[in-house]
Amino acid sequence: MTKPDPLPTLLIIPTGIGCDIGGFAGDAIPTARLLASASQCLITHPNVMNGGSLYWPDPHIHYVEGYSLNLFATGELFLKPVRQQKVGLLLDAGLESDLKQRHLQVADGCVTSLGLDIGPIVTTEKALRINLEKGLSGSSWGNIGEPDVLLRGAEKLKKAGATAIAVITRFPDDSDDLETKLYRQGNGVDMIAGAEAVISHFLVKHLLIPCAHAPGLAPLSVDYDLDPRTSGEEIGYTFLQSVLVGLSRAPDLICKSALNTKENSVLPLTTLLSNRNLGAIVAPQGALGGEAVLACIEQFIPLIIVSNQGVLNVSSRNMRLDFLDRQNNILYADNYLEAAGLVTALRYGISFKSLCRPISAVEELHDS
Amino acid sequence: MKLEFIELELEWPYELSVFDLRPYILSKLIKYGEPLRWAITSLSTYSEKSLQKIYIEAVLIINEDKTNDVNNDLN
Repeated sequence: MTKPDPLPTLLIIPTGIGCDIGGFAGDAIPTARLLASASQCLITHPNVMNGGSLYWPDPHIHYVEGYSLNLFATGELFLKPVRQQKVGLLLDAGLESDLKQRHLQVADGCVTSLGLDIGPIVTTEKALRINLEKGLSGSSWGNIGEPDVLLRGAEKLKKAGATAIAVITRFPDDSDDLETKLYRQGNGVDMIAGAEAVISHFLVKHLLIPCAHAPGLAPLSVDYDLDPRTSGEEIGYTFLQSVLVGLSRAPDLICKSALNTKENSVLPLTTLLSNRNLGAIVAPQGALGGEAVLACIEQFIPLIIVSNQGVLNVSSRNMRLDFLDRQNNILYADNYLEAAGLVTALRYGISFKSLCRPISAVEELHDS
Repeated sequence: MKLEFIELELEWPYELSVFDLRPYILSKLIKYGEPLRWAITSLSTYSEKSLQKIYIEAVLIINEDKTNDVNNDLN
């Protein structure tokens, strides 16, 4: 038997909602690797793949920022795999000299030791003034005090040849904050993650090139009760390395409307990934109210709902999905191992009925 | 241009299918600004009233002239 084609699969673990798996520092990377192995083509976002100082480049994983992921899921955008991106660095003028230098040294290290193409580098005209916020739901959000300044800096990078942008902004230090303490001990929400997502969403919306964010933070004192899931953020001085590795092979973003332009008219459609290629989407039970998940439900793309507790309770029951059966492509998994099994069954065309017991006999259809 | 974080409560009519929910939410959000990042973060069901409410958290891009509308309308 020949090997079946890859089954492009979307893995979503929303940022800043404290999921048991994926709510911390790249602690869903093993999950992504497993699903990439099962599907041979996984599309997922920085919150899943960024582990602070830790990362895992996988040729079967496409690193796609959340705003572009939503556009992809709604069919407004195509993904074009590339060999390498030229990653521009955008540095917040609010970074202290030493902190800025640490980030520049990470960039040098990634060029020297990993072979990445990094540059140009731009510092914003003035400090971006990032605020962290928390919604009533308990999920983290944030705001950019100077969005125009951020955008001007990023436009300068794009004009200078960057095909992807890593942005580093100075985040408020909150080492004494109870939220940070709880997070480091594995009992809280990542308070900076929501703001990071807002920053990268904002840039992708305006520039339509891959963008991701790394927070500039002063080092924290050692915590002897540290949860292993946050350890990736305790290893180095910056979180930039995982962002650079992710962006270095992030697919190009091709807008649907741009497909008709002269520049893109020669693109063979077979080299592009579209939402029509999607064979499955995997999302946590309790976090089913995001744009990408809703867009996939609309298109009857098989939705694998995985038990993975976070602070939200936007469950299949609340979202009126429980009355939809397997004919409507709603599937459930107790964990990501089971989800990988479901992806494998979908990819190889194995009936779910055949895998479960008890099993009923086939029935003949009679005219009523 | 400025960004604004909002929390919005919407009624989810029973006759509106989940397949039509995303465009419905976007049509409501767009009144306050350009949606940048949003999600349903909570739902409440009032069986006695045959009513379901959804709670949205969102960051919107807002032109300065829309700021007043947002402050007046949101809870």
